[in-house]
This record gives sequence, C-alpha cells and structure tokens, in this order.
Amino acid sequence: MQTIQLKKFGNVLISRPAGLEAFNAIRPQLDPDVPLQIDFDDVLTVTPSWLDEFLTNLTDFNGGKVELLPTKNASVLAALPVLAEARKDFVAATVLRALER
Amino acid sequence: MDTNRDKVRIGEAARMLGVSDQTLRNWEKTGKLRAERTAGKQRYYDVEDLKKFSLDLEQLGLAWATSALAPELPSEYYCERPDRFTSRVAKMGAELQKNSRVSEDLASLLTLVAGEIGDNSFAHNIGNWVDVPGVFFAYDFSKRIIVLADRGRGVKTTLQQVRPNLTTDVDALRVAFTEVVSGRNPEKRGNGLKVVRAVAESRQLGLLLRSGIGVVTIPTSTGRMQIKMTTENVRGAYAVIHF
Repeated sequence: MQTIQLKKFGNVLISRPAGLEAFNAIRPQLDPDVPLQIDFDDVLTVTPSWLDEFLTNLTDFNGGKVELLPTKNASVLAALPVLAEARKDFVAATVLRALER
Repeated sequence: MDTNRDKVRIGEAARMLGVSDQTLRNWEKTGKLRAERTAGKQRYYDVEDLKKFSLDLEQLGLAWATSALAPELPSEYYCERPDRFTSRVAKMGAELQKNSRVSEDLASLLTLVAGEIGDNSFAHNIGNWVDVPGVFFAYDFSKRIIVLADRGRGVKTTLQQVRPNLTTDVDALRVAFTEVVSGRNPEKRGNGLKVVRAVAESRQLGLLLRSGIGVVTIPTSTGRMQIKMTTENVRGAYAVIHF
C-alpha cells in the first residue's frame, strides 16, 4: 500500500487542470500494481473539480485500487456524496467505500 | 507611526464613514474595524484602510458583471488569469484559518465555495470571454462577505454545449444546481455547483448567484434554494457569499 499525502500539493486544491497536474507530478513514483490510499491531513480545502480529476486519473491508472483515508475535512465530506452520485465508475466505487467507512 | 500613509483621528474617521465616534469604538472592540494607537494612546486610522472599508464590494462586483463597458477595478480585486485566482483563494483560506471568528470547517467550506465558483468562470470561458477576461474576487471578513463576478458567457450559454435544449437562464441555473451531469463527454463537468448547493443548504453560509436574468438564492435563515427571474441582466455570473 502506498500513501499519497495531498498536503504535498498545497493547502488549497482547486481546479481540474491543477488536479491533473498533481497526478502527472506523482505518477512516476507510482506502481500500477500497488494499491493507493489518499491522506487529506493538513489540507484546508479540496474542491470537487480537483478531487474528481485527481481520482479519475488515479483510478484509471491502477484499475480502481484507491482508498480514501478517514478525514474530518469539511470540504472533502461535502464533495464525496455528489461525486458518488455523479460517477458510475472506479471513482464512484472508491468514494462509496470511503463513505461507508 | 508610518509617516508614508495618511492617518486621521477618530472624529475624522467617523465623519468619513458617516458613523459616530462611539460606533467606531464599538467596531474596534468587536474586531470589525481596527484602530491603531499613538504613543499617547490616542486612536488613529489609516485613510487607505478606511477607503477600503467603505467600498461596497457587492456594488463593485455587480458593476463588473453588468456594465456595458468593463469598469476600472482596484488591482487587488481583479484576477485576469486562473493562477492568480488560485493563489488569492489560497491566501483567503489561510487568512480565514487565522480568523478567530471563523471555525476550521467554515474556513474549509468558504474556500471550497469561492474556489469552485471562481474556477467555473475560468473553466467555462477560456478562449470565449465576451470582452475582458478574468474574475472579480473580493472579500471582507468584517462584513462577512465574499464577492465574485465575471464578464463571461453566462451559465446558459456554457450549459447549452451539453444541454442544447435549454432556453432560459432560470432553467440553466436549475440544471447547474440540481442535475448531476454524468460522465466525461462531451465536456468534463465537475458537478461542483451541486456541492456548493449542498454546503449552502447546510446553512453554514448564504449564497446569491446570478447569471443572465436568473437568480439563485440560498439564505442561511432557511437553507432553502430558490431560483427566480429578475429584470436586470448579468452578462456572465455574479455571486455573493455571506457568512
């Protein structure tokens, strides 16, 4: 299991292009066969656009082996139910598993 | 005292703002408007701070969104490009975290809502700005408001790319705030305004968003969303967040 700490990308994570940029920056360090977990600690805000883009690319990259670590981050908790409803793919599965926890 | 900037005593400051001396003392106690002190403990105010305080950010943003010709804006309220907007939202978030009157959760949600609305302006207008690119973005913690405005194509025109049958601004706002647009084609859609709506309906902040002649309101008093038609046309989008 490999952990991605989102704080590496900043305190406030906004926009699709920035979400894609973050994925491209970290991809060389990732192995598509190793499951990933995402850590939201010490991040103030992640917008739905950034999270959607980042998760879409990550789950496409490793076939959906992505888990979200439990968080109390208000922006993440607000975005997850809408992402789960909007997406019908690996992203929805990752988000639904996190919401169940 | 910084001698490079004009300073005034409390009486002159009160006259400039049209309030009493006592009101200014109360505002100082509650943190609404800070006063500095001379060595002799007399209050004094920075004239530039007073001018900023007296600016009506809602009117300024509305002028940016509605006027035929783009008005001149103070540079601190204008983000021509997305990177400038992102850095200013991050700065606002950091300031909110330090503000003792704002909880960590509220700081997170205000930054989300402002970030998502402003980012939408860039994402849906890039290469298609009607005249002047960019976003008006201003906030005043003492008045507990954040204002955003753009001179883009508006919600209806941008949504018509994925929903060609949309005919009115009110319908477009309803789709933007209530309907989940699934999948990634023909255009990537973040469904961010659905999240903005969910946050506002939790009553932690209030929202007004206008585009064309449509207006969405979600007041903190009820947390209930209403979408209506108005008479004055907004060229792109205009949003006020109250908290």
